[in-house]
Amino acid sequence: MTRLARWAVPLAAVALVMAYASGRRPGAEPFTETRFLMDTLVTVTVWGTPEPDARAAEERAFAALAAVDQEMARVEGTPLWELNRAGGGRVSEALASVLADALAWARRTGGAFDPTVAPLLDLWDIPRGPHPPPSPLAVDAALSQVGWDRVRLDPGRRTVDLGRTRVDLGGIAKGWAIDRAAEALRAAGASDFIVNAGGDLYVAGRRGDRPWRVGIQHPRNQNRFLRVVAPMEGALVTSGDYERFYEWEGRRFHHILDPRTGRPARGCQSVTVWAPTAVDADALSTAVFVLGPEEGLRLLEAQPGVEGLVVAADGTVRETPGFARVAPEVRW
Amino acid sequence: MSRRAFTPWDALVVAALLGLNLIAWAPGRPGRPTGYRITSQAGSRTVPPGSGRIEVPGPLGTTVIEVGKRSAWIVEGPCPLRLCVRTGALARPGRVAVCLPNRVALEALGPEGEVDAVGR
Repeated sequence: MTRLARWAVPLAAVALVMAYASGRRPGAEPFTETRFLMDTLVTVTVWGTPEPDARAAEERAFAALAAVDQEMARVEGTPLWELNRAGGGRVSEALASVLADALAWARRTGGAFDPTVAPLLDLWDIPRGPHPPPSPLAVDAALSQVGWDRVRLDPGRRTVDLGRTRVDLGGIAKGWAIDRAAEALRAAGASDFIVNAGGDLYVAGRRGDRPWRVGIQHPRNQNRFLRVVAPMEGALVTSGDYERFYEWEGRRFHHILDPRTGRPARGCQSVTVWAPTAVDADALSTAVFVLGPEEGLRLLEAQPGVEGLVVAADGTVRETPGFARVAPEVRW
Repeated sequence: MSRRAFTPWDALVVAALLGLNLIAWAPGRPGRPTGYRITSQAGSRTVPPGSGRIEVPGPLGTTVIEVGKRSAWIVEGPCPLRLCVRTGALARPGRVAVCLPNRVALEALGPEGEVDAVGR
């Protein structure tokens, strides 16, 4: 046997292991920046751009998110706070745009999405729980101050009359901000990135030689994903009853309130919506959650270019026919 | 006398090479965090597995984090809902535990995690 033949088997074995090892070894790392903004944890991830450019792009994205937060958070001193205090007035172009989107979605969803739920959110005060739920009388009193159709917006003059309601843009402003961050990243030259605001995502491009992988949180098991998907470029927004909730006497009270009953919506555990823009996905995920699986899926199927996945209150998973196309499951 | 094609010394050399390759491959294995990012109002920092007990100040008080060799978790926090504590141990890259009221987040990092982001 020649010396070469004698070493052929072990050399082949080592070569195989090296090939396997190099395939599993990490490649280049994306640049990631995480901050608290908009009352949530925001992460911007950029791939394939030289570090100084990636960092600069991320800064522009965070600046865009912070600008929305400073204008549309319902905290003292912001323009939205002043608008609610005054009951109306002239607003900025950005605030007028988000209000117009919010009212349009309120109309299209028959009020399942309603930006005037502020009195109900204040009454239930979920983040400060656990505490006894409000009385039916108190819920009715708050409900009497809710009604998107009382709001008058003149988009040309950018004037608003709230019609004795108060507005909370928590169900849509985050999506709008994510879209502005994605615009800022593109303007800065990034094409492969994820904007992640508290689990609401805008996904663009790829992570090198593979698509971005997104885990959809299982609503009842923090250690499991419902599925792992490779979404098409666009927004993937999830609303769930597990993000902000407390339990009182064995019942779960969460932050997604049904504007028609004034109480936490009970039809779903979670709703994930894919749409070309985060502002639409954000409003729709809330509306579908409120409507419940049957009516919610019908609403999604009536929207062109939008898909969704619903986990009903009993844990059954249902999805629109095109969800697997826009967010194909990945196995790796 | 015929020479043996594959001697014990050859086996030793091959075993050593295989061992080296496995060591080189190990840090890239998906499924085990290689570090944890802790974010607070003061900014972000990354700590290695096994860092032990870490106290992170926030606007409401102190959030206590335990960073073990295989996982990390939020032990205690001043928030009312305690959802961060209920999140439990983060044993896979990509998993996050967040205390929004106290502005503290714990993320499991990995070079090739299960996922790049979690929709929730």
